[in-house]
Amino acid sequence: MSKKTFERLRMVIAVALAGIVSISVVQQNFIIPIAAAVTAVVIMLGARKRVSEVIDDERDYKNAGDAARWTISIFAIGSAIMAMVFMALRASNSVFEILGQTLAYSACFVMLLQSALFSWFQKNGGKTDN
Amino acid sequence: MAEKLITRIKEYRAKTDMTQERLAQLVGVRRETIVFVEQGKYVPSLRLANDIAKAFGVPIEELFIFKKAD
Repeated sequence: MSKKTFERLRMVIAVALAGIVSISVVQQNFIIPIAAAVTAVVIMLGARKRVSEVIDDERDYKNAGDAARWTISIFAIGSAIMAMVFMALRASNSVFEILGQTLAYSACFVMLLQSALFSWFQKNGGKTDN
Repeated sequence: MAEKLITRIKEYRAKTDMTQERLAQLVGVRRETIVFVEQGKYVPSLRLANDIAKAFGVPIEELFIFKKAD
């Protein structure tokens, strides 16, 4: 399979998945979108193995790492600030307290997950194909 | 002090009449990566640098030179 065919397939699957999820949400069915997402992942993994050209390389992995690091930093700082703002406004509406707590816990979870994965990669260090 | 990467890949490609696409295929990366390495905008891993040097049959230090930035 060529890279172009793979990219077309990826686009078709993304559109189909978006459609299935939208319809399922309207119909309040939560099993179909999960099944569709799993199927899409399996199809994409299978198709990826059949591509003869290089899809991504070490520069992509490095850029993905940099992007992930920036994303976590921005998300954590942004969430912390927004959580404090929402908590400060909780007297006016109780919804703000829920929003603030959700954001704060989400940021904590992301940072904990990042720390755990970072420790794992440090211990199993430097194992890369590049 | 910051160092700038200077490569002689373009020169060797011209000598061997090799396209960026062909070099990318030989070393197993995307053509864009070769473009960035050639321009000194991306410092390749030791493995990629070694593969590129092997593709031209020259030592790594012949292709990649680090110069102190002014």
